[in-house]
Order: sequence, then structure tokens, then C-alpha cells
Amino acid sequence: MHDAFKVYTVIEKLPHKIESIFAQGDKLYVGTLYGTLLVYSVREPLGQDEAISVTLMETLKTFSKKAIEQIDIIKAVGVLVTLSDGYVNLHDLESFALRTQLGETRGANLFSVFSKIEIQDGFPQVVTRLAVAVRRKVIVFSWQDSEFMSTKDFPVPDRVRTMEWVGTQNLCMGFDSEYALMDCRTSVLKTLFSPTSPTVQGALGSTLESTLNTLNTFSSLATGGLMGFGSKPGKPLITRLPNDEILLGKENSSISVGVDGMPKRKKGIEWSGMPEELGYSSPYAVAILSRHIEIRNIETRELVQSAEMPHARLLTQGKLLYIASTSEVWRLIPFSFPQQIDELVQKEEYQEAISLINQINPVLLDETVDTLGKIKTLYAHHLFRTHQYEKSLTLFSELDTPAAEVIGLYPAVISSHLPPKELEVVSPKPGNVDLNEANAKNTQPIIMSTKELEDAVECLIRFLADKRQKISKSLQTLQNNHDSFSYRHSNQEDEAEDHLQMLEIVDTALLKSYMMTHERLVGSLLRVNNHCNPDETESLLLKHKKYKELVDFYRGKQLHRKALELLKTIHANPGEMNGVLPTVNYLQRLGVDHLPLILEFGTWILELDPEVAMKIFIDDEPEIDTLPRYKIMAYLERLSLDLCVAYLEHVIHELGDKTSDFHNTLVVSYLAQIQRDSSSPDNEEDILKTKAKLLQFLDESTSYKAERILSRLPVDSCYEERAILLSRIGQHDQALNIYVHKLNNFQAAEEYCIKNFNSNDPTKNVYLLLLKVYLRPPNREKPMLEPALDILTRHGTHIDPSAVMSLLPASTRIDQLFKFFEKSIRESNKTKHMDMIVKNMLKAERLQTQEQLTFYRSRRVKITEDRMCPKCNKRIGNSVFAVFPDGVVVHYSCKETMAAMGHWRT
Amino acid sequence: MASRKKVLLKVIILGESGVGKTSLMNQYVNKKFSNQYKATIGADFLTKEVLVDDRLVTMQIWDTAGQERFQSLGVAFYRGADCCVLVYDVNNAKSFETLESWRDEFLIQASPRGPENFPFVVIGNKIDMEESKRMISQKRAMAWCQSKGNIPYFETSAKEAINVEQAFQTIAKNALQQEVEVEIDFPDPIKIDSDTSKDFGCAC
Repeated sequence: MHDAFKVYTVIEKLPHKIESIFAQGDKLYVGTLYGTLLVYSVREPLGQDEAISVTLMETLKTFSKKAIEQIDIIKAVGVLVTLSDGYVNLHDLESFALRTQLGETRGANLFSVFSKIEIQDGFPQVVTRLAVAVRRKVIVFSWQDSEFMSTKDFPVPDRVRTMEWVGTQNLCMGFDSEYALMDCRTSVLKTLFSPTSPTVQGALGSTLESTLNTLNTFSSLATGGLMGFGSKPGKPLITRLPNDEILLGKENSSISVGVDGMPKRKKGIEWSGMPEELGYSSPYAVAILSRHIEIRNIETRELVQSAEMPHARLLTQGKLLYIASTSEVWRLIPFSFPQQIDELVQKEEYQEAISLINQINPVLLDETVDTLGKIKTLYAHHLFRTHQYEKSLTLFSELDTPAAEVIGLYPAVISSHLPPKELEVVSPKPGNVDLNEANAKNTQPIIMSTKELEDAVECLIRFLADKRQKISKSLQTLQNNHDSFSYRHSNQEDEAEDHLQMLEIVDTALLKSYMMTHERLVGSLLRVNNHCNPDETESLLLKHKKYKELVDFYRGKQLHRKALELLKTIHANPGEMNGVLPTVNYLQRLGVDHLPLILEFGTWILELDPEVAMKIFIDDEPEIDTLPRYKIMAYLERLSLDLCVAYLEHVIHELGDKTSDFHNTLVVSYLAQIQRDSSSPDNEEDILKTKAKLLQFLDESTSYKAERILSRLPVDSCYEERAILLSRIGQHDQALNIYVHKLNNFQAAEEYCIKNFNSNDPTKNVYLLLLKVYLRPPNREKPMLEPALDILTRHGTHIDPSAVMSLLPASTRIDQLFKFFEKSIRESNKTKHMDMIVKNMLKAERLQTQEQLTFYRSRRVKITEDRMCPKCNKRIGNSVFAVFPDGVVVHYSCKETMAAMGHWRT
Repeated sequence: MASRKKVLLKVIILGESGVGKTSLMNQYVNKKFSNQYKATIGADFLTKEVLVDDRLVTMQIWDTAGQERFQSLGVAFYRGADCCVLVYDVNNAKSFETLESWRDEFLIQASPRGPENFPFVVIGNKIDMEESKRMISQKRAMAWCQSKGNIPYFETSAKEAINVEQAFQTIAKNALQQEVEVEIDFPDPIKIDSDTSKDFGCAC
């Protein structure tokens, strides 16, 4: 409650009994029981403390013979309208001389005047309607400007108790049992509802009543207060509100209805008793109750002011609010709105203040809009202080209050990251509302229980989520603008900087809030694009041992070194971040740009768990493919021979890399492994494995450089490997020498020959070479006849017998060579026969070709005198001519054209 | 005054652009599929009445624009969601890799009351394409779902209507578990005119 009006006594102890009052400008018209009209001039006091000045201007004792029951004015016509003795009279407004007595109004009990400027035929005109209730009908008189237009009668079902215009076309009437709305164009009467609730009224309850139950909360019935009045029916009361809205009385409530007869507001006003009279003085509804008056805000329905006014029974509508008893008249002058709002704010009745601002004309307030926002902000603060967090934060969100101001309301656990200057400007300072006191309250810390804090934080999370999106969006717009212009605005940059700062505040607070109520979401926030303050985040997460989230955060912020160092520090801790795998996963996703980091932090994991750690180089991830293999090879070579081998095997076998350096290095590494392992006898198995891999690799790979590797081979071992390498560089004799003399493996030697024999290159006949190795051993050793003969027996056909003969020692028994000769002769015979067949076939082919040639040569054409060229239709005569294969003869010069026309491609 | 209690489930479909969110919704609600790609602008919803455990519920399925990534839709849009469907294309590795950030962003924006238990459903769409084009194995997708708290996983084809019905049935069921009963009031229209209205005719 606050003081909306100041009450002044205007007239005291009037000897006449007041029957009616009306106010217009500074004039107050008072009609009495005995027909006297009193006209006062009332001047409003200029200051708060001044008294009201009232002067009696006119006393018209014989204005009427009977009581003046109602007074009004039709300004456009310049008449005073009064109801007296059952007639409506029109008097001149200046001289008070009777202009007309409206004869047809005999028996009138009530009238209602309404004027409105309407556009008719393109000109604004004052349209005035005067409705007069006469028994069971209503007569409507119309004026346009000052010109009387018409009268129209409308029958009504009952005696009209009260009526009011709703616009110029609709008349709302109150009967004893119901309200009705009449459209004066169609005469259709629409029944609304009864001023009395059905229980009181008895059987009258219609279906309409049920609809009203939703509007009317029946407080009167609930409390039982009204039951005492028992049968006293509700008095029909109608008050006109702005915007074609009317307020209808229904016992203790007032319900607002629109011109369509539909309720306009969700709830009706509940008075503390049954109103005797109802009025409206913007923006308040006024009711005269049995002992006092009540003033309520129409929107909030809150009681604004009540005043003791015994015997009050009359009031005026509109801006000039007068209330009269039989002998007294009071004037209620509203305090200025800024003053009222000020008072409401002081009393922390922010909702009322906001409602007031929303209802009144903005010109009545200085800087209204601004103030409204500020009051709402104060209201939101107030809601927060009174622990209505959800409402408060919804309002903050609506107001788009800076995040720092809201976060600042929370205890340090949430708000500690705010820069100190933000805290100072927590509350705005509006111009015309003195808010210092409210401010003082704001700055006091709010004490919350844990549960309360959690609720409040829950609401804050929503606020912040909303905020971060709004800021991000506007930041993006800003950056887009930025991109679209090539030049740079410094203030735009500042703005972007501000946005980023706000985002940091918001995101950091969000992180803290999540940490308090929804730990799971901490990870979500840190994984998406966020602006959390790095230092705050770090210390907070470390405190809560949220290492995984911290690593995610570092990754998002590109603080890879920090992340990796953290992973290294905590790898021994139990839990999901234990071991090298988290580091492996992290390094795997870094990619080539961070190679130094990968290599630096790869070392410790490779040393700790090489098998798992190698996945940073050999897993199937797109980032890994981008890593430079040379560098990794060099790195691993330094680190460990085995890892290097594992990596190269992956690169060569899995990825199919043909780079010869990798192949060379792999061979050399295998050799090194063998050499290393051979120092200890326990590694027999490893050596064998490595050797097998090496041999297979030497055999299969074609990318290594044999010459280079040969020089690295140990002199006294690895004969097999050497043999393969020698064969690669074409040193077959040396290779065979190794098989025969070093390895004594004749089968291998033979297989070597089978593999390397190339019949097209007789100069390098490996069989002959092998034979030489057997039969011409170095160092004057004994020739090895046995294996040589075996070779001759099995592969003799590939060897020239004459070369063999020169190689064989003279002592060789001829029968030992039988098989060789037999095969050799058969082979040469076979070759000879084959050649003869080919020779004869070729001969036959030649004859065929010659025959064909003769045939073609025998073709001829005869050019006679009459032979014409089919192209130009001229004689060929002695000209040069051309013959197409089908025998057509044309001029040589016509040949091309003929061919182009599609005749026989030549 | 009569008021019917009705269950309304708000389901939001998220995922990279072009994974088939709109197609899934259309297949489920309208049993239609179009090969033509038309990018969704903003968000759009369709409703469908579904029987879940003998209970008739209305599913309000919100289809979103994959390209916009939470830019144009306010937090209000995500609030009050009962289930979030994350869709990816099994033939597009990137669409799978971004699932996590869609999920993270959703949780932040929607701020659900119990983020730990908020129902998600993951759908791997476009399984009608040839096997050689497939980039994300079922095993990999399921492992991810498992690591995120056993999110139900479905492989669907909106084109050939494979598994779509089953996926949405689970969505409805899980959403119903989450649902805070939304009471939709259907107030009877307030009628003040009645049969007593009469035309009194012209008095002239």
C-alpha cells in the first residue's frame, strides 16, 4: 500500500442534502434534494502543504422543483444535463437557462452521456450520445458536433438500474438480475451475468454463472463473510475504463469486460466488502464501501489506499475524483506519479511500481522507460533477496542485466572471479528515483543455506546458459561485420574485447555452478568452445581432482604442454587417467603441427610402456598419417632399436611405403638387432626370428639398396643374406659361390638358379655359372663333379653342351653324361624340328601373300571416250584420275569431295 | 470446468548438416522419403500420437538445422525437452565425431534438471548405402554410446524405413520416463452470450 491520493475536504456541513455531483475542469456542480444547483470553483493546491481553494460561484435555488438526481455535461453542445422530477433537462452551461426539457423522457430514472471524436466522411467530429432509461426502454439521443441528429428507442426487459456507454455504439446496462450489453446499431441485447452470485440469488443460476466461477474466486463465499447479508442482492455497478473496457460489480468483486462481452482480465478485483459505488480514476479503481473507500490497482488488484469516509455515497468518474456524502464533498488529488513510484520503491513494492508505470501515460513520467528497467532490476534484486531465485533470475534474464551484476549476488564460491570494479557498479542509479537505500540493501551479502544456494545456482545456470548464447551471438555478428569491412573500427574491436570479457565472466561462473550442482556438465562445458578463465579453471579443477576435464580444457585452449605435463604427473594415480593411455590418446590427436611436443612427451611413455605408447605412431588415425616419417624414424632410432624396427615394419608393411631409406634402415636395424642379441646365448630364439624376418624382407622388398647394405654385412656371417644381396646386384657367381662353398647348400644353389634363370639373356646363364662354381673351384680345390652332374641331368637343356664340355674334367666317365647328352640331343632335335615347322609355315604364308598381291595388281579400269566422272559429270579423258576400291573412277581432283560425301574411305 | 490431462513429449533432433534428421522425422511421421536434399532453416516440428505402455502420448518432434549449430535457436528452444536424439551418418566420420559436441552443447543450453539422467538416443542413419562406403562401425558407435552412460543406439535408414519406428518408440518411451507431467489446459471458451439474448426489434 502507498498513498496514491491526498484527500482534501472541499465542502463541509452543507445544509442541503447532496443528491448528485459532477466535476468538469475547475468546476464542481452539486445538485441537492430540493432542486438547488451549487457551482463551485475548486483550485488545486500548488504545493503539498497548501490548502485547497474552494469558491462558491453560483447558487441556483430554483434550478428545479425536485431533487437533482444526476448531472452531466455535453460540452460540444454547451449544455448541462440534469435529471430531475423524472425528466432530463438541458440547461445552458453559461447562463444555466433551461434550453430544452426532453419531453419523451418522462419517467426517466437514469441517463448516461458519452462523447467521442470520430472520423466521419474524412472529418473529425464529436459524436455525442445521451442514453436515457425510461421504465422499460432506453432512449438514445445523438449529436454530431453541436447538431442534434436523432433519437431512437430501445425496449429493454427490465428497469435499468445503471448504465454506461462502451464506445459510441454499445451500451452496457445493469438490471436487478443481470448485466446486458446492447449494440445500438442492431438492437441486439447480449446478456452477460448477474450481479449476484447464484447461491444468494437462488434458482436463477444460468450456464453463464459457471463461466464466471472461473473469474470470480468466490472469496466472499469462502470466508462466509457475505452470508450475513443473506438475501441482500448485489447492486449492479458499471464503470467505464479506458479502451472500451467496463468494470462490472458482482457482489464483492469487480469484473472487467470488453466491448464484445468477453472478460478482459483473468481475475476480477476483490474488494473487502460489497461496493456501494464504483469509480475509475486512472489507473485506479475506486469503490465506496459501507464505512470507507478503497483504491485498487486494476492490473495487480492490490489494495493501494483506503480511507475512512463515513456515509460516502457519491463519486465522480475520471481524472477529477470527488466523493460526497449527504453533506460533505472530498476531493482526492493524486500524488505525482514519480512520487508514487518513489514511495513504492522505498517500500519495496516493485511489482506495484512496475504496474503503475506500465499503465500511465509516459509523458507523466520523466525518463519513464529508463526508470522502468531500473525498477525491474531492483525488483529482480528484491526477489533474489527474498529467496525467490527462479523469478528473480527469469526477470534478470528478461532485462538482460549484465552477468557480472547477477553473479555478484552469489557468494564467493561462485563470484570470486569477478573483477573488483564490477562489484562496485552492481546497482544502477536511476535519475528521478532515489535508490540509495535500496542500493545499500543490495550490497549486503545474502546469506543462504546450502539447499538454497543450490536452488539459486540451478537458476543461475539457466541464466548463464542464456547469457553466454546471447553474448556469443552478438560477438559473432560483430565479427562478421568486422570481416565484411576491410578497415578496422577501433570501437568495434573494443566492443569485441568487452564481449570476450563478459563471456569469460559468464563461462567461469557457469563452470563454478556446474561444479557445485552438476559435476557431469563440467566436462561438457570444457569440451565445447568456452571462455573460462584459465587460472580459475585450473585451480578449481585441480582442487576437485577433475583431471580429465582439465585436460579437455587445456586441449580446447591449445595449452598442450600443460595438458601433457599434467597427464605425466598424474599417470601413477589410480582412476581413469592412470597409465600411459590417456597421454597416448592425447598425442594421437595432436598432428604434425605439434611434432616437437609429441616427440618430447612420447619419450616417457615409450620408455614406460612401449607397446601401448607406440600407438602414437602406428594407430589408424588421420592425424598420425600426417606425421613426417623420417623424423619419427630418426627419433625412434635414437630411443630404441626395437621401436624403430616396429615403426618401420608398420610403415613398410602396413602403409606400403617404398622409400628406400626406410627399407635400408630396416635391414640395418635387423642386422643390429642380431648383432646385439648374439652377445648373449639366451637370445637364440630372438635371433632366429629376426633372421627369418630379415631374410624374408631381403627377399621380398625391392626398395633397399643392396650395395650399401653389402658393405655393412659382417664378413664372417650372414652368408645367406649376402647371397640375396649379391644376386640383387647381379653378382650371381659370387652368390652361388656362397651357397656352394660357404653354406654347402646345393639345393639352395639350385633353387637360386631356377629363380634367377633368364633364357633371354644367354650371357648370364646362372646354370653355367653354377657349373663353373662346382667344376672350377677357387684355391685349386677338387672339382665337385657329383653336384655338377646333378645339375646337368636336371637342367642340362638350359646349358650349351659345348660350354659344358670345356668345363668337364677329362676324367669324367661318358656314361655319367649319358642322361645329359640324351636330354641335350633330344632338346636340340626338338628345337630343330620346331624351327623347321616354323620355317615351312612362314614359307606358306609368304606364298599366300604373293598370291594376294598378284590379285590386287591385276585389277584395272578402262577409260574410254565416254567414261564420265560421277562427281562432276565431265569426261575423264586424259585427266589424272582416281579409282575407288569399288571400281568407281573420278577425276583426281574430285576424289576428296567424293570421299567427303561418304563414298568409300580411301 | 473441464480439463484434460495430456502428456506432451518434446523431442529434439540434433546432428551435423545432411545426416538425415528431417528425413527421419518425415519417415516416422509421414511415412515419406525424398531423395532431394533441402537444408532445414531454423527449426520445425511435427507431432505424432504414440501409444507408449498403453498410454497415449503426443510426441512433438523438433527438427533443427544442422548447419547453424545452436546459433539461431535460443536456450528457450531447448528447455523443457524430454529427449534429445543425436543423429549421424554412418558413412561420414565427421558427423560421428561431432556427436559429442552436439551432446555437450545441448546439455549446456538446455540445462536439464538432472543432466546425469537426461535421455539421449543415438541414431546412425543411412545404412542403406553400400557397405564399402561405411566409415563408422557399429562396434565403434556402440562403444561411444556405452561410454556416455549407455545411450540407446539404433542404426536406421530413413530411405528404406529400416528401424525408424523402433528408434522412435524407444525415444518416446525414454522421453516419457523423463517427462514432468505437462498439463495442458483446454479451458472451455468463456461464453457470456446465451440463449436469452433477444432482438427486441426496432422501436420506431
